Amino acid sequence: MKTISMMVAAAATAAVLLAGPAGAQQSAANAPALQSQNADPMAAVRGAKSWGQNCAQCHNPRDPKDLSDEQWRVVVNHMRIRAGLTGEETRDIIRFLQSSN
Amino acid sequence: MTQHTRAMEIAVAGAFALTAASIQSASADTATDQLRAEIAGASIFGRNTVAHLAGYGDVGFASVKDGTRSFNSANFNPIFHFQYKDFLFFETEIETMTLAEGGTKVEVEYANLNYFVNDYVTVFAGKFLSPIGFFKQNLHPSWINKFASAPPGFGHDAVGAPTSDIGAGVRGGFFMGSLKANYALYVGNGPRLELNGAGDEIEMVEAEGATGNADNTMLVGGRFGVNVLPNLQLGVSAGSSKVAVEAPGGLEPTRSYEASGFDAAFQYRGFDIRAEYIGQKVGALASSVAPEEGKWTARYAQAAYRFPGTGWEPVVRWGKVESPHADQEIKQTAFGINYWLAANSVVKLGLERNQGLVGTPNDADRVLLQFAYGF
Repeated sequence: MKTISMMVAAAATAAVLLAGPAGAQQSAANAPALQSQNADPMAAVRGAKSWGQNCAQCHNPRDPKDLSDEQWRVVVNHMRIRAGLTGEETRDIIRFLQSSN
Repeated sequence: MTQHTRAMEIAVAGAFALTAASIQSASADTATDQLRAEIAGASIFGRNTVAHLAGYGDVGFASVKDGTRSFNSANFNPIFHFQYKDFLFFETEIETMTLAEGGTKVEVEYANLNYFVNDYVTVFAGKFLSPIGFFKQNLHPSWINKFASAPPGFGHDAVGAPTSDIGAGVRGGFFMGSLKANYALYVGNGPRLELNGAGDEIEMVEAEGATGNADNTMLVGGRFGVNVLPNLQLGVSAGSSKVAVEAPGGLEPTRSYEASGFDAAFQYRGFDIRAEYIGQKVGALASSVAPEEGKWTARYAQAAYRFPGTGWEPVVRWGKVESPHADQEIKQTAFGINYWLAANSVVKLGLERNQGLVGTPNDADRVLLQFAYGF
């Protein structure tokens, strides 16, 4: 068991270290990614589809007008953790909600 | 007054009105800008950090057959989210419950820090809802749960499914061709064993996260889920560790602990159908004050249907808990009718038909009424 625990811990550490440079510069790296995603006219369309498929697996989808742009940005990241969304799905859903509220 | 003079007067009056309106508008703009600046200045957060308050609250009424009738719940569960740029995320849910005997109970349901390493990997650490299983992690909030109570063994009763753990791990989602998968893998302090009053049997597995880890062992666990269809998710989960009894004479040698689970969820045109099984098994240890092994299982199946264009939603649920101890076992058939006031607010009326050891609460039928609001 100790060996397995060590392996899991090592795997997690390796994931962080390997992705470290990208992670450390994520805010900078994300900026163009977000900008290009915002410029992508299909992002909101993909987001609408992901929103319908992922949110409804647990609860009624909320009205986009329920929350502001900033609030959706946080709430969807919470759902990224809870529902196992990919980063791209997360950004697409945020784009859809922010363009629909 | 000539027509020309009157036209001049009207023109002058109009110009005056426009000028006044312009001045007023400029004044209003300035006031708005000042107000915005004041609000921005008053915020404790800058542009990089966003804070958000979410959560849910509920009130409930229960009538127990041949027993008590009371407004049995008034709960407030605020959830705080803090996000730094787009890669750091902290979330915590504080559970505040009004107790039967009065007073208030406050618990940290979860509090964890998440680092979005890339699009597919999130590293997390802290107290988190157990990824072993699905209900506790994703469906327990009262505005999401479609019945007025948690399925037997999936609530805070500590007899069926693990509820939370404290540790660290990785989680995320990815695509396998056209199939969407999600995963969570973690290391945590794991469960503890609770002895019965006589001290010669394991009463239950206490699987709610704690910072203590007397037996010095770690649990490795996780869940893997895959959407075999966009509206059909299947999940398997497991956990393995060693646990030790804290006997009056001291800490005993460790024994095995295994948890396993299976869950399924399907949505189609107003139907929401789901089922889940979780088992926890503690191995035997001849030298222990409680030498026998023990196995606790909890399972439920639930179907709900939302009538199109209305707020009405009937729901039926079946659940069962098996335990080495007869007083912990329960079979339940439950029927309910929900009315959704909004996507995040529901009134639930339910009837539980419970079968358990005669004379115990597990054998008493209940009528439940609950009003829940998620925000």
